[in-house]
Amino acid sequence: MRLSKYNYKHRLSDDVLLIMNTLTGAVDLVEPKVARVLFNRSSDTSALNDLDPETRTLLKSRGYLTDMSEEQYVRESLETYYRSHPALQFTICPTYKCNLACPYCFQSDIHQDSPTLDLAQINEIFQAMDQMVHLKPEAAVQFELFGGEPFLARNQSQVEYILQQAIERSWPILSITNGTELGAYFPFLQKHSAHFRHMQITLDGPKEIHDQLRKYRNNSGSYDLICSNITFLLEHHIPVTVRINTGRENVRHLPEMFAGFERLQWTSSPDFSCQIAPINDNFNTGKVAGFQPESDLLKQLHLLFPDWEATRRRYKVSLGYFMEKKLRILRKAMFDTDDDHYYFDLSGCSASKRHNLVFGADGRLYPCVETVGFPDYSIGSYLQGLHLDEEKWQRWHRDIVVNDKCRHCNLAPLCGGGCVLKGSRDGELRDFESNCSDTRQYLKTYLDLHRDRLLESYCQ
Amino acid sequence: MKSLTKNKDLWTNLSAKDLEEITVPMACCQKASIQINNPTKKAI
Repeated sequence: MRLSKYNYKHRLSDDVLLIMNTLTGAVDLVEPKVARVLFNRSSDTSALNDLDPETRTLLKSRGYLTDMSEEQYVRESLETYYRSHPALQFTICPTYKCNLACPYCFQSDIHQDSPTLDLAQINEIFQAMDQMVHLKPEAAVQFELFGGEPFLARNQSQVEYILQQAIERSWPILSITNGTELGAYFPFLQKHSAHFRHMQITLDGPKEIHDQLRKYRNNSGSYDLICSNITFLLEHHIPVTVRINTGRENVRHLPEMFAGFERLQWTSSPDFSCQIAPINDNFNTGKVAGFQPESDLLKQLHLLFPDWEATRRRYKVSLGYFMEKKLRILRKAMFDTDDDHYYFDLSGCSASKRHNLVFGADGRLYPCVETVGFPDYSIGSYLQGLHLDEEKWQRWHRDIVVNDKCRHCNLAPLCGGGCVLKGSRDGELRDFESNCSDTRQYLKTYLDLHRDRLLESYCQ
Repeated sequence: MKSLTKNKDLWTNLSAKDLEEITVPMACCQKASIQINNPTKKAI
């Protein structure tokens, strides 16, 4: 019997520690004596004899002590996962142009005179997609529109043609849009609402704050128009996630924002949700204005909303993908949450699974929507036939078995190695290293914020 | 020792079939996530 390499501990008081096994998902409260044995630095397991047989059995059933080869288990689980989840996520960027000029947008470097797809190019894209589906016929296909702004009114004929192609193939449609020019598409959206699985639309604060950030090139704001378009979508049962990009400056406005969602009656719609997404620094520049580490955001949220779990339920709010992912075991343990956020996943971001293929407006293929328009990251092209650089795409295949750093990390099953883009120094990904962000501090902060609750439950 | 998660919920107790059926949220894209003026990369 050995100690699991995925054991984690956090001291709650002199007498109680929380222990967690990030591979099994076990969370337990123990006295220091047990923790001392589990976190004994030497590989000598004779200290286990200090524990009574019942505790040893319990620790084994929870995975803190193990006989199995954890590495092999992880490898096999990933193989099962990849084999049983054949998926293709196609994304089209009809253009990189946008009618807004948000100060934080990563695409602001992309020229506004960049190309817009014409019908012949769109046909080439769908030919390429059909080719991919033919090679992977068992794959579940999801289709997404991205940009620039995909729903520009002036591109209506091309965009509706694209959507029609997806609908004919019965592919569920997702989209990331700023929501400002959806009005031009209302008749189409109304007619085909059942095909739209999800739309993500951003609001960055109450009106006066949002209008400073999500503004037109003439500096006018977009809040009212976006809100009215979101209401239309919800009335037609098209699921909407309002995304709130947060930085140090706008988190404090969340209570007012949430109250606004309630006033608009969005929160009573089964098709509404919202997500708090901290702005990141994926290219590791260190120069993102307003950047706020996840742990600081967590603290601020708990100050603003003392009962954060109740707030989540009331306003249908969740945290960004990576923040949710890292808390899923602890939330399950503390609140018995059994929602979409409790899942088993040993890989990093959605691009790490090599399911994503993004068709850029420039004729290039990209592995992730956040790389579009940056040719260094391109993994092929689709004009005059599909040309996919498999070797380069393979470098995006990242999980906790492939990543060197993850193999020695007790938290790896929680974060899966994180965003691939963040771990790469350049588009080649030859010197990839998992970017752990502040995962350790983030978990510590979460547990510190819930110390009293945990100690109470220990005494009950 | 007090367990906060049940043994039945442990991931290692999932069967191969459970693993096959499990769903994983796919979307992590964050349009606002990358520093705007990436100094090392030239956009088209």
